[in-house]
Amino acid sequence: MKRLLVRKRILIVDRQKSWRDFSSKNLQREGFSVRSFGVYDHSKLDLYVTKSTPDLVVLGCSTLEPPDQEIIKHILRLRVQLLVVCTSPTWPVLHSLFREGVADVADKSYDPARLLQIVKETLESSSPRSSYEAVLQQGLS
Amino acid sequence: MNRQGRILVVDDLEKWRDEVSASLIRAGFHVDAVDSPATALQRLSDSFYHLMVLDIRMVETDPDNVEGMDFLRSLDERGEAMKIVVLSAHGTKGQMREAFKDYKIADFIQKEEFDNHAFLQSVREVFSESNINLALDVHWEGSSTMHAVINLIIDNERVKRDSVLSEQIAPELDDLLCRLFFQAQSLRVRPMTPGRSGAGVLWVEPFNEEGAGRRVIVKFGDQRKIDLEYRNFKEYVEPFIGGGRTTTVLGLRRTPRLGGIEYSLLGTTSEQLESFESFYRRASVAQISETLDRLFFDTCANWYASPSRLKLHDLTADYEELFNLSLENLGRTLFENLKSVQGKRDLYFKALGDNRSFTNPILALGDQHVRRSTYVCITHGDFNENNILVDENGETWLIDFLRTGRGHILRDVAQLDSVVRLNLLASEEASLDERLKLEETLCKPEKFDDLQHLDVNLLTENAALAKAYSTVLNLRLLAAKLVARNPHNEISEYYAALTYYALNSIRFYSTPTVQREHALLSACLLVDRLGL
Repeated sequence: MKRLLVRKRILIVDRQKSWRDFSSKNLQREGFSVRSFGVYDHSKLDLYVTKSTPDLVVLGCSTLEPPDQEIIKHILRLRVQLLVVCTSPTWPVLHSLFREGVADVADKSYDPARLLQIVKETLESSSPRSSYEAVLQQGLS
Repeated sequence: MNRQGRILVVDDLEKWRDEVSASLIRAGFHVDAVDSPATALQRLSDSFYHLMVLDIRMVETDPDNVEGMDFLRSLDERGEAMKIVVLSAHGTKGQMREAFKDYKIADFIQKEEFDNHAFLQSVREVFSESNINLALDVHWEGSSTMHAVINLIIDNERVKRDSVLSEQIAPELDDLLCRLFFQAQSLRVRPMTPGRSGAGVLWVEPFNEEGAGRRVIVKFGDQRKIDLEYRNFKEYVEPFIGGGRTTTVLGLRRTPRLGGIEYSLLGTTSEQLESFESFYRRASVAQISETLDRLFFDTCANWYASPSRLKLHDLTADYEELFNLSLENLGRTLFENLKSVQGKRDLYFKALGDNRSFTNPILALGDQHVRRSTYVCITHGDFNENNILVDENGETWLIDFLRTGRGHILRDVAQLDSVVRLNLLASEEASLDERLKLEETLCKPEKFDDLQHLDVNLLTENAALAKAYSTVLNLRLLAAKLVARNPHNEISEYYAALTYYALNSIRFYSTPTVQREHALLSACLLVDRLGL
């Protein structure tokens, strides 16, 4: 049976409008279905994630200050894959992000090819390789 | 009961190995320590661990940690069964990122900044996040983990009594229960009769602080087969099997070699379920008929009600694939294991007494492909006497979806037909002569419509034989209904299916001789009926 090609859904969360626009435009051009938020609004996020179940949330942060850390924890509790893009994270920051459970951490860049590569790699490496992993990631429906 | 968390420490430096091991042992873990990836792999094939603490710089001459990262890659398929904490001297941010992202490690710790307290905290967090209840009390009723793993097929190897493999797999089954029931305090566990697929089935009643929980069925076996069964369940069962008899999945976990699915049988009015075999033995023909009717036209109705369009279907390819059956191999080994049957092209059965000859079905089939105009739909694929559970009201629930998928619409009914004649008619219940009479009577119809003209009861004083006949006749009438929309009305597609089930039955060498002879005799008559 022929399967329908489903476009991967990506949610971009970043207070910086220029990066939000850049990444949305480039990912849409590559065929992704993209939505973006400019504020860290928990209830808005919850509603969107529950309704649209994005395949990946891309969170842009520059400082990884406490508000950023709080939103990271919140997104991970929603059981979605999270890619954090930030500027040159230190070893302890990187370590703590991975321990929290983010799928990947990458440098914030305005290179469209690099952005696409990171998003594709993250989607690939975070997709479950067995039913056991899928159940662990998404739970039983 | 308090089990220890099992940890394997892998480090080429003795000082680190000893220090880390001693610290973990003091914290209450069971620890084994090795100095190289090769020795670690040996340990992993002999035993199981919840966690590996791995130094990724195995040798001083490997400044880029290539060997350690390669080893990490080779451990990848263990997935959630064994967590990994990496210890690294001179690890880079890139390696840490790769290890977390690509190999899903649990933590990455720098040796330069090693802090024993933080390390132990990380290890304890890994165990806590793994959802394994090592304090679970498991009470086996009339069995044990060691007994329950006998006859499982793991990595294509059958687990035999008192073997090294049984010693290795039994603790994994215990660990699997600790994972599946991590929220329970104790379990009451009773093995159910397994099928022939090399997997096991348990009836489990969990208890927690609030009291007894819902009783469930646990299917366990080779983790790759359980993975496939779960995928089949999601694709073919969950969206279709509905009504009041829904099989649902409550849990799915694995150990390095075992996988387990926790099935809940929703809607059962009684939790005293029995296998179809046990139900068949105690129920009347009328009760069995009613239950089979519900099974095919209620529980599984959605599968058979949405078949493909009528098409020319290669039944030989369908059944050979289903059974992984090679007629060439079957022919080669058949006569070594059935000494009571002689001849080559014509077969003679010593137990029949007369000198009547029968067509050799394997030679008759040869390399011919039987094709018939019929339907394909989702089928269970393994309707045997242990995979169908029946409650006291005669309602049915299904387990075991390893072979579930699209296939010949009459697969399931033909299998149950074969099970009743070849398995449930026990070896001591009928002679080969009586079985021949049964087969000859049942093979008379040339079209599905002719089934209406068969006598409802077989003329015999043998009650078991009469019961088998009446049950099979009811099943064939059900088969006719499943393909009623087929204008060709050809029963030969059903006979072809029965032929392959019969030939497959001959392969089970542990089955009593008379039942295997019956299977062969049935195949002989069926190929004649098919005109092969």
